[in-house]
Amino acid sequence: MIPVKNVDPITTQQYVDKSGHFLQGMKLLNDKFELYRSGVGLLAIHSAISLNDAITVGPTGKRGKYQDHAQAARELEQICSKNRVDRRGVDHFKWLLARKNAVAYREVRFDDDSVKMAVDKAERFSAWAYNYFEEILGAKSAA
Amino acid sequence: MRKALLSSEQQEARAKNAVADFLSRQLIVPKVFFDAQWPNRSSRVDVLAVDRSGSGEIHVVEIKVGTALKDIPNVLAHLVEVPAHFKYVALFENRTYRPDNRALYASDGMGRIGVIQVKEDAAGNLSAEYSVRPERFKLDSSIFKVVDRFTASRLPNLEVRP
Repeated sequence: MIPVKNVDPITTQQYVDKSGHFLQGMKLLNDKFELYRSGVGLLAIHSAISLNDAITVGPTGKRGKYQDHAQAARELEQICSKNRVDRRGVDHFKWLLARKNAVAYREVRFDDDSVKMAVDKAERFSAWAYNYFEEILGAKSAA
Repeated sequence: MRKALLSSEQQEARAKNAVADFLSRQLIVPKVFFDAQWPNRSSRVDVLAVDRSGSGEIHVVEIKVGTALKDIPNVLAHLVEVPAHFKYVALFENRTYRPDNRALYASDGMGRIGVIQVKEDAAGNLSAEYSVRPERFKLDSSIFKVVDRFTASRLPNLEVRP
């Protein structure tokens, strides 16, 4: 876990919430993934993008406006190397980002294996993020 | 036929599994523990789930199998005492029983124990669903130190690995 002070907890929480909505939507649609395969894929990708936004906005208060999502991955990579964080999550994130255009815009079909892999990568990325960036993501709130 | 072959312990274990799957769907990459000594060794819950890979809210479940439900008041009284944000009693092999509503609520009004029905279809497949949705109990944030110690000392039975 990285002990980093969160300078913008409200924006962070908004991205955390968004990520959760995308992830839960992904799980619901995945019950009938043969009907919703592109939707499942896109929600998987966006759950990771939102959670990454939460991780990067927390310490700086700034969210990158990336034309190129690879830049978001590079920024996450820098945060990880600066804080000596296991980089498995970056690999999951890159895998998902690499498929965003194909899922959303191109004519190619997102095949069964890719749908399963996207769900797996999105869940693993979430698990990784909450393990290593617990302090920033602030999931612990007392009721 | 199937019921005659399985002991009550086996049926309870099946119900725990169904409940764990159900919680995994409701929550975000939770860590799930069976037969957890929570919050200390003198107390045990059938299923404990900690949301967001161990960094989020705490959910506890007690399972009751069959129609012999005379100890349900004790189960609910135990649940009320166990520290968790969300608490549930899961009923298996009993589709009609519904606990007394008053017993589900926290004495201060914040928090309601949820009721999960575990059902078995003709093919023997289990599924779970809410018959009463839970409401969040009030907890002090110091509980997170306890849960951190718990998750550091015991490997979960179910989790999404990073």
